[in-house]
Amino acid sequence: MAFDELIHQPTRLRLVAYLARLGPDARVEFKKLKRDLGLTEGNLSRHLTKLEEAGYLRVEKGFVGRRPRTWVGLTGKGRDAFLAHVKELERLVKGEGT
Amino acid sequence: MSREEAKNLLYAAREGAALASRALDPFLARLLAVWGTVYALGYGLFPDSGGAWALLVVAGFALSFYLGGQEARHLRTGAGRKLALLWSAFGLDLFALMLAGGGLGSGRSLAINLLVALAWMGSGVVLERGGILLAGALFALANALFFALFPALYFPLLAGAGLLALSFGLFWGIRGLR
Repeated sequence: MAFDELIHQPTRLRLVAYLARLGPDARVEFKKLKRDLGLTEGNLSRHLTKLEEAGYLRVEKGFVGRRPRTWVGLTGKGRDAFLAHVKELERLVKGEGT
Repeated sequence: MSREEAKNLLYAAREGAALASRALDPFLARLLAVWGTVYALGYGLFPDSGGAWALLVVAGFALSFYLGGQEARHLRTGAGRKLALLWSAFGLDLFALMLAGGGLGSGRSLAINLLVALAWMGSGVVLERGGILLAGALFALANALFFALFPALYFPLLAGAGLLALSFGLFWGIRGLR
């Protein structure tokens, strides 16, 4: 049993799936993530905070030129939790769980 | 949790992954538009001018790497780094072919275009995008057929292919921005 209550929420699941698909050392700038996932700034921020608190994401702040930027990447812990969660969902869809 | 709910969640996960696999599309669309322009101008207006071609290719590479640098401000992935390496290697091969001297000629053009096709196919493999891999393979095939069957029309056909790539790049880029 590896259901993860945090990743279970559909928007967070989509967000983590997006980051997982980019690869282990990928990082995405906040605005691109917001645009690609079609989320509002507030909505995305809330989900990122929850996932970061759980250690599933790393959020880095920096500057490109004079502009402040926020970068987001999936941690190993986040990747493992996502893969285990998806495996569990697949098991359920195949009718192996309840 | 019901089976239906699990199915919907899996759909959400697949949708997220699909969005990520298209994350580099705006960049690739711009790249296609840049190189479509190089081909349309080069083969359409200056097919026999080595100097004009050298300028176009240098401008094309400078613009491509500038666009790559801009893209890296928003997204950094292992695939993106592999893509930069692959296109740098292709650029070096291209410059080596151009520095070898002599006119562009249709034989040398064919060699260069097969390298271009290989670079696009490699990009498809790196990005795990079957469509890009197929486009590269079709470009190689079209080149070989143009060269073998219509040698007199080889350059005009390549100019046409450039216009097609430019149009598709613009269409892909605009659609991707929606």
